Amino acid sequence: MDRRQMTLILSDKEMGLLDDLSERRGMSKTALLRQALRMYQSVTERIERGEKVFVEHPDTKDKAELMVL
Amino acid sequence: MKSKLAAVELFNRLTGGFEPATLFHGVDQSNLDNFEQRWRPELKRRRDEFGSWTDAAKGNAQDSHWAWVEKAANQASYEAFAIEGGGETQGLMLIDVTTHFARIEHQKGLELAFIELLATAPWNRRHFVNQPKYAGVGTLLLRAAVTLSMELEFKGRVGLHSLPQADSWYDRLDITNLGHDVSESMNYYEMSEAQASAFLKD
Repeated sequence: MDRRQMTLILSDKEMGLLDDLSERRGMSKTALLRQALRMYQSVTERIERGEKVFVEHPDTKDKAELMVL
Repeated sequence: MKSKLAAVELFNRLTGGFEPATLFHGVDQSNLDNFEQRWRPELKRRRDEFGSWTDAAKGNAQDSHWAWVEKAANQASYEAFAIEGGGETQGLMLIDVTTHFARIEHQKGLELAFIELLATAPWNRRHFVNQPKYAGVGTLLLRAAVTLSMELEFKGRVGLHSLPQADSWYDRLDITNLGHDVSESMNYYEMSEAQASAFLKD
């Protein structure tokens, strides 16, 4: 896999989120950011194709549409 | 983009010897052309010998409708792999690493490499031809899926829905069968982290 390097500057809050998610998902920060990028790309592509992305509450089955601006 | 991952060997059942082949990350037009011109006519011919999709399992042709070209064109969502040997594409695989998550209880909700499509060429299949040619294509591709999962820090977790014709193949591997998934009308299989480690050591 080709690699390119960049410097990422995050706020304390953003870094805290990254630390927390990295621990919860059992992935390094780098792997987590890569995965987040893929997911954002996937959601964006689906919405651009006219698809709708929902999250559903497990009990009430209420659905909320995910909007990407 | 297609890049060479590894030099591999395929066992030629007809000659009893191993032959060099190449595992690629990514597919290109030559693989898709090979599928359209060499695989699809064979798959369609075999599928048409059976009255129903269910019966087509007996001829190992239940994947005749798979849309390799359309899905592979959308490579942003998939990681594609191909094995080439003997001047042809011998195996293809598409993996979704974004939209599926683990179901086994102790790894539930965690990321995994979900194998959307995995197939060996028609002429390599038992029950498809009288004398299948290359053995080992499926195992090499599954190994590539587990390796990708490791590289992405998914710790080897892999999931897939198996066509009925392939259930017996997956049942012979150390991969958990979570039973019939009503939403897909197929069995769902998942490889745990421990199973993945053991699989790569074999």
